[in-house]
Amino acid sequence: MIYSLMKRLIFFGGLTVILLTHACLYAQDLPREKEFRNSSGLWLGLYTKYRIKEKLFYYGEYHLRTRNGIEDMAQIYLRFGISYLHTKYFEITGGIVNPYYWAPDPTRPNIDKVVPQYHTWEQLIFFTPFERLKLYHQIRIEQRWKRDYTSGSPYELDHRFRYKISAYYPLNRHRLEIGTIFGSFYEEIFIQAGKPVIYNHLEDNRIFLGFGYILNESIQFQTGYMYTFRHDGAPNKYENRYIVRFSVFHNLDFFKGKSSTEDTH
Amino acid sequence: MNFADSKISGPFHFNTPGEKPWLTVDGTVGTNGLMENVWTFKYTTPDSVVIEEYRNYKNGFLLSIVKKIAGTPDTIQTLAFDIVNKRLANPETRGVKTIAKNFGLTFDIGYGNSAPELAAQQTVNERLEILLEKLADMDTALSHRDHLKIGTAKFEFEISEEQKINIRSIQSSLDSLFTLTETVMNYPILQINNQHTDSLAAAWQFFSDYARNLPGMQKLTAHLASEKFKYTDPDIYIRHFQSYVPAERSTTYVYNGVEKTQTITYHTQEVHNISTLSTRLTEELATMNQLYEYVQKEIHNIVQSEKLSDLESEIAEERNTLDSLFTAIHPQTDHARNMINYLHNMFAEHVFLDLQQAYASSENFSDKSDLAIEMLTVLRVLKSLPPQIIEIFEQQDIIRDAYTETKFDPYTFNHDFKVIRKRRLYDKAAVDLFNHMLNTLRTETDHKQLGRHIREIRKLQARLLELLEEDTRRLESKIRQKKNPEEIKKMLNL
Repeated sequence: MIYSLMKRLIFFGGLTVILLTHACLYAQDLPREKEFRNSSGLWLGLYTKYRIKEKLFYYGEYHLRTRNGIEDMAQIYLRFGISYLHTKYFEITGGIVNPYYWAPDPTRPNIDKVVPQYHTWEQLIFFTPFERLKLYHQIRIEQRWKRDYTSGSPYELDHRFRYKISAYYPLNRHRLEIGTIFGSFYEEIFIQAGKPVIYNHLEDNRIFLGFGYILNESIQFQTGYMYTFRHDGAPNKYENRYIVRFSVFHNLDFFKGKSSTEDTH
Repeated sequence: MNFADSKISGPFHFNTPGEKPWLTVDGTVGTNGLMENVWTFKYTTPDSVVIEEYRNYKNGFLLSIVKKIAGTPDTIQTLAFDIVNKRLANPETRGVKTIAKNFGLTFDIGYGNSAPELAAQQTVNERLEILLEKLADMDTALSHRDHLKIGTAKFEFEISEEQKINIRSIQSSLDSLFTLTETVMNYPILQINNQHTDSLAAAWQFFSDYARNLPGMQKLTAHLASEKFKYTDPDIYIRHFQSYVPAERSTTYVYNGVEKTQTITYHTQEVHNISTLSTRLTEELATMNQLYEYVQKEIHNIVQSEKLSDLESEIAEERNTLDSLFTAIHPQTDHARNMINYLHNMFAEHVFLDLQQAYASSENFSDKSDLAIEMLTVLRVLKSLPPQIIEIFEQQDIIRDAYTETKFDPYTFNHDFKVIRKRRLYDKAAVDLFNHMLNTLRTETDHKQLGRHIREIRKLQARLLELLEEDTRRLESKIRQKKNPEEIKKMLNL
């Protein structure tokens, strides 16, 4: 019942956000010529999920991101949270994020080369299993306190709404188990809003395609290629990013009890 | 008829006209009722011929018999008892003395029942015996049978030590011959297989023929050893053996439907006294022993041949059973099927074929028998393998399930995420060591070792189930570094 209601909420919520975004964009006086820029980068990530109670998990993400290939440091992204497995196929997570952004042009005068941000975030994940294909819907909302690289600039609050649909498809086995190589795909749309957001509500659209491998009960790997299309900090400017991602997913079970999640329907 | 001291003595005349059987007697009775001088008898034969018979006695010793047809000059039988004459003529002969004792009407110093000396006396003696009984019945004064006892005398022979030794030798030889013959005749395998070879058929028939001789010879020999033999003339008695010990023995037998004859010629051809009889029987015993050895050898060959034949049949039967068994078995898993097929191929084809070739090329019974038994063992070991192999793989599934637990994978949301408990122990023992043991089993070429390998695998599996419930943290920590299967076994206390 809850699962069905949430699905409806996601659908209508997403639709409303998209329509509002389009309306806002048309309302602005946009330059006639569009500019596109290509960039590349490497994103290394460590994901952790440690079970501390039967339905409670510590959640952590630790990212190191570069730009211009691997020449320049881009971000260190630290995300922390607590996940609650509400039902077998529905999980709620909330927590804080503390990313550090490196200035794209550190030679600019009067700037801070590294600027931290402070976020809170909430997330819902709906899981839909098929015969072999596993489908995940993820809705993430973030409240971001961030500022410009200019020294002394104030922190301002904005909001980000993210929807991600991802899929795993086991390739060498029929199911996701130890030793499985699986195909991994996702697309995630980032929409931002708030006082500081004037024209670039559609912040980013990321598409990822790669492979994963389940090494053992604690460790999984994923690697792949991610393409993102986003605004490049000014009207009529866009950026195509080509990013190689390598992620390690680590989980531990401190609860130690045998899983009884079947009872959580 | 005259009597002296109540015993018949002197002239004896008697006539029984009109009575049957009719007999006229005219003779003289000497001391002890011994018949003396000429005795004349007249009697009729069953075909009414009147015979006149003249017997000449000397102190009870019968010297001659002459038979004529009464009223004619025709002599129908003349029989001179030469040996008696000779012995009486030389009363000093060493070891022989006359006995003035009445031994009855029939004069017999060892002639034997079929001898002419006895046959010639038979008719008159029977009738005279009847006559004397009638006389005894007629007069109560003569009721005591001894009063009318008319008879003949005998010689008494001293048996020398050498003769005694020879008689014992004869008895011993005959006993051995009897035992040999009886043994051979009672071989059931020979009764069935006497047509196995020409020689065996001949030997079998020879023993059969010989067996028929033995009772007669034994009977004659029994008399040699009896107390009465001292009244028997050895030179006469020995003649009775002659028909049993011919110069050569011919045996007629049938082999493959063809009648054949084999002859054995003896070195001692003439048997004329106890000594030569002893020598001859010793020679016969030696010959029979040779034949017996041959028969035994042949029987041995037959037994061996039959044993091999039985083994071959058993092997063929086991092989058929095994092939049917392997065809009928359908293990659940590829691993079990592959292992069973591999072992079948290795042992039922390669190893068995090698043994089969060695068996075919071997000529020695012992080697052949050993090889046949080994082939049977291979087949029987193989026959026992499929259920054991299937059980091993089924048990391995049970172990894997026991070591597997279901967890929740928080990234993939897989609530049925299978993980192995005691992973290091499982990997080293249930995977690495188990596979090593399977490989050892698969590469084994000695069928006698297969059982040991299977027992070791089962032991490992039992140990793995035990360890599941034990605290194995130290063991897991140590075992992770081990690669040598023997070290792993040692750590698991196998």
